[in-house]
Amino acid sequence: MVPSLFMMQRFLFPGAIGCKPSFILVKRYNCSSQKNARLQDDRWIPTVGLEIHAQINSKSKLFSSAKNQFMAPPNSLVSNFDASIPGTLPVINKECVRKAVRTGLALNCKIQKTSFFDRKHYFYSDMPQGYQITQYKHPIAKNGYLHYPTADGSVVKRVKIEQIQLEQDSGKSMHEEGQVTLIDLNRAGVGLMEIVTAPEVSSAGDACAFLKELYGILMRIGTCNGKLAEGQFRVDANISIAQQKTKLGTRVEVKNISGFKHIHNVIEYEIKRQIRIVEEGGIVESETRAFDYETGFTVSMRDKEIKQDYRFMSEPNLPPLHVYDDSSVTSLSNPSSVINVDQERRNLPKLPADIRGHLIESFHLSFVEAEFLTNRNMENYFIEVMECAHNLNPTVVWNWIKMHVIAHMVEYNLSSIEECYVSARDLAALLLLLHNNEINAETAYLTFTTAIQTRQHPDKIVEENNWKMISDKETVTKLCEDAIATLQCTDAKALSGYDADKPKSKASKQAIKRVIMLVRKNTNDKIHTGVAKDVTMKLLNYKRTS
Amino acid sequence: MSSTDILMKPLVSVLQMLRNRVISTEELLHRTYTRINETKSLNAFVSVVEKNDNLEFCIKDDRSSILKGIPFAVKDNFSTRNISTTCASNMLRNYVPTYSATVVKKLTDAGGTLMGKTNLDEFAMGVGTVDSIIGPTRNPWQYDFQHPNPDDWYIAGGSSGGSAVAVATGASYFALGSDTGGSVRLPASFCGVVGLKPTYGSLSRHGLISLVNSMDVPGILARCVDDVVFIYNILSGNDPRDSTTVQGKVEKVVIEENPSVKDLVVGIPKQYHGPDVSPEIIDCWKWAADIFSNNGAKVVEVSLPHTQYSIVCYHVLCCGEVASNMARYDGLQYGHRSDGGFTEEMYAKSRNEGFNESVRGRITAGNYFLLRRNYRKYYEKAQKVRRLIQTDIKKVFDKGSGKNSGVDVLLAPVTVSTAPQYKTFAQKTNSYRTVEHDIYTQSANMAGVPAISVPVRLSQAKLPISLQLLASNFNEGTLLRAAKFLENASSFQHPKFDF
Repeated sequence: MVPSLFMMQRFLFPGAIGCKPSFILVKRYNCSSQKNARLQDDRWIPTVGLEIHAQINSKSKLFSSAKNQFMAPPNSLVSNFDASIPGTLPVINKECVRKAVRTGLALNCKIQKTSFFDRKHYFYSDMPQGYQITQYKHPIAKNGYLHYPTADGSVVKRVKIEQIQLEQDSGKSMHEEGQVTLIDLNRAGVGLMEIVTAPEVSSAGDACAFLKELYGILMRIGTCNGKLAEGQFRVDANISIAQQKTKLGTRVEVKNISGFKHIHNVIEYEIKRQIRIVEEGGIVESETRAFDYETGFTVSMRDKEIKQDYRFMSEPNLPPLHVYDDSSVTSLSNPSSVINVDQERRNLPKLPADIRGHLIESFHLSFVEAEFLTNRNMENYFIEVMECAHNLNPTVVWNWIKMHVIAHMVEYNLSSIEECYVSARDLAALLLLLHNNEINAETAYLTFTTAIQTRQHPDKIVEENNWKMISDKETVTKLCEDAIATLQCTDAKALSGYDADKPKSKASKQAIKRVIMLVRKNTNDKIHTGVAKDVTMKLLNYKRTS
Repeated sequence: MSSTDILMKPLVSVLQMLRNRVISTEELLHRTYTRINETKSLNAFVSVVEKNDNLEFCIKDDRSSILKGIPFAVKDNFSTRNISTTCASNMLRNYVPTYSATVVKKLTDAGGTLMGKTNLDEFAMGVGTVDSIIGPTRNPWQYDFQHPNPDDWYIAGGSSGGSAVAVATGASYFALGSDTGGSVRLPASFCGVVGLKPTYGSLSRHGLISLVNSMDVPGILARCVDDVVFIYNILSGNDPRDSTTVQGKVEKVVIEENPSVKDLVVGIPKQYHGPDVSPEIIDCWKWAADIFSNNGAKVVEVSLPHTQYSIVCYHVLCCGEVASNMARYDGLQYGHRSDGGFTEEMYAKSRNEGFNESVRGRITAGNYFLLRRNYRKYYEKAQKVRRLIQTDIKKVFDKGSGKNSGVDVLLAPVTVSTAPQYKTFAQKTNSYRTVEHDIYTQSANMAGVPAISVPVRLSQAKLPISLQLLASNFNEGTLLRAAKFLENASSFQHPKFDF
């Protein structure tokens, strides 16, 4: 590790690097009259290409043994190599390669058996080597595609994945007030997968739908942690407009957008901005813009207006990167030390699209319901509940998982269902009690929270607390008859409002409620109110008609 | 200085003396420090390790180690833990690494005593060891130690000139240099010591401050081939910190006292017979070819047709990598930082003040070659030419192909002349000097093959003339055997300098 001698913990130097927004441009092309813009939108075909920088979920960095971790003290995770200390050399982290291969396979790419690293040069204070090691010419994965459902799941679209390249992340510059910049190199050298799509997306909505699907896949196969707020999934969007589909307009690149909502806003905004420029007789400039999270505008990154020449050259300190397959691995003396693409393919888990399909087909869940479970890794839990109790209604089970199980996990910040002490089997038992009217919804929830606290089986909890409800029809009818009789004697008015023709009227409801209240009182709250309600209605109907 | 100067003895025999307690390590160190002091005017060292630090170290040493406290020196572009590493540049004037280069660590782990860091051309860019922040290093040959003349002396050659001088004067038994285009072999030849540039990848570059990553190799300078072999066997092998090092084990080299060359085919590359080569060197070269032939080796003329393009090709590739490797020196994390100004201004100022003209020139040229509009025209073309030069050399060593091929070693000059005088050398530009003196050494770096410079005789001006041997990749065994044979045949005498 680098001692603080060379790495200044808080490192100051004057100067304003980074992007100074050009406010004049913003003002001129600010789309204030949305109505007008919308009218003309139809005449323009927007085209969006995306570059996604997904941070690889690995223990250490791409070329050094420094830890890959968020929220550590500044410059505490910096190896000599990460700080570009002279004489240090990159050593590839096999775990990062494996994860890039998995990602490539999940995105239907051709995995390149041999890929190479290049140096991309530019001076930036948080990139200590003066270049980024990336895969410019020969990336690890090429020519893939991804099918993604549009937001409501009604249509499935396809986007071509041009390539996936391994590269280093940069450090972080914090531009503080008073012309001071602080540099934290903890992130410098962390492995990134840059996933590049073809310019084939035609709306902000589709772009987001694609990105969500991609995000779900990366999370599912465990190659990216996906913490958006921590910049682990950042997007550059190349946006252009044209009047014909075959001809692409001048593209504008908006860099470094995090968060699906922001991405949606950026693309919408940029499309409108470009349309407005062209309609006003202007020309869209090819430029790089940044998204201003506060104003919601994109602003020109002035210091990058001059076209960068990255002076690419191959990285001489890294030999070609080889991966193998079942047939080529056999010739090696130590096959376990290399990455076998076929093995990785076999190890891939089921992907979100397949899971959703299974949920929709087998349990007749809606797309949104299936997506909800899939995105939260809850499909197996759901399926297990259904397997334990076939006659449960899937939507009821889904609702319970959403409203109670997941709500509980969110409240207590639990990362997996294992940390929630109600197993699928337990939940199935609980929902069966509910289904069989042995308990009501209120008791069910009470049982659920008790189960979490005591880790006891729901049956046992209900048993021990004597929570089982009186729900058998005969007993309930008897109890309700008694209550009606009592009310008729003591407070005849109470039932007079009941109208058999309008059982849902306020007065009818009031009458039913009075009966139920009395039954509850008489049974020490043991009555299943749902059953009692039905019975009471029948009895009152009978009374009126007779 | 006595005729039985222990500091000039071969490493192997001194180790024997240490083992037999004929001399103690402490005594050896005291004498070496005295020698460093006596030869101070040669300016071989950028920095010398404190005597007390080293004495403390050698007392702790239990004598069971391989090197038993033997003094050695390291070129000042190898990182040394807690010892400043300047690259002879203002940029790293105050830079102290926190780790040691793998090759340095191997030597200290083996019990060697690091005496100091030797002078070089800034960032190893040069052939004279004249472009350094501490000034030029002087060649001990024909040097008047009693009345040094500020102008009238011979250059040491570069860029590992400090290491060559340290070894030639007995200030170290051996030294590390780095060889990117001839930077070990050239000063070795000017100073009359043996200089080995091993196969690319046989010695770790971890900790060696990069010049041209794809050609840099740590090199070994010593006074005889046996000593080079001894150190090579300590240093060679895989290093997980350098992905370009050889995978698997490297065989130890063992050389007989009087090796035979009967089974060898010795190639004489005809393109090396240039008009600029001094007649004395040509004569020496012919003599050596005859010696090989007379002792049973088959001597054949071979062709390396792309030799003439190697200089310009080297220039483009070298500048490209230099531009890239030097990008990290922005004054932020370490190194020279200029005051004030905006960031870009600070970068520019720091780099302008930190690098000498020659380094800046190569950076500018390299960035030009790498520009998108120029890449194909220069850099890519140079890479293709490099491939041709590699193929030339590969073919010559290939036992399977046709006529005039299948040689075991190539015998060639190291450079065009003996050491030039400083006053004439200083008049030429750095790049011109490189063109002139690296012409016969660069090819080995482009192809990665091992090469060695062996002193053979003295010129009329009483300056060392050396010859170069090259072998195929990882064939150090054959290379060093041929070198040992040449050394035996030439009976070159190390001088008794008048300190």
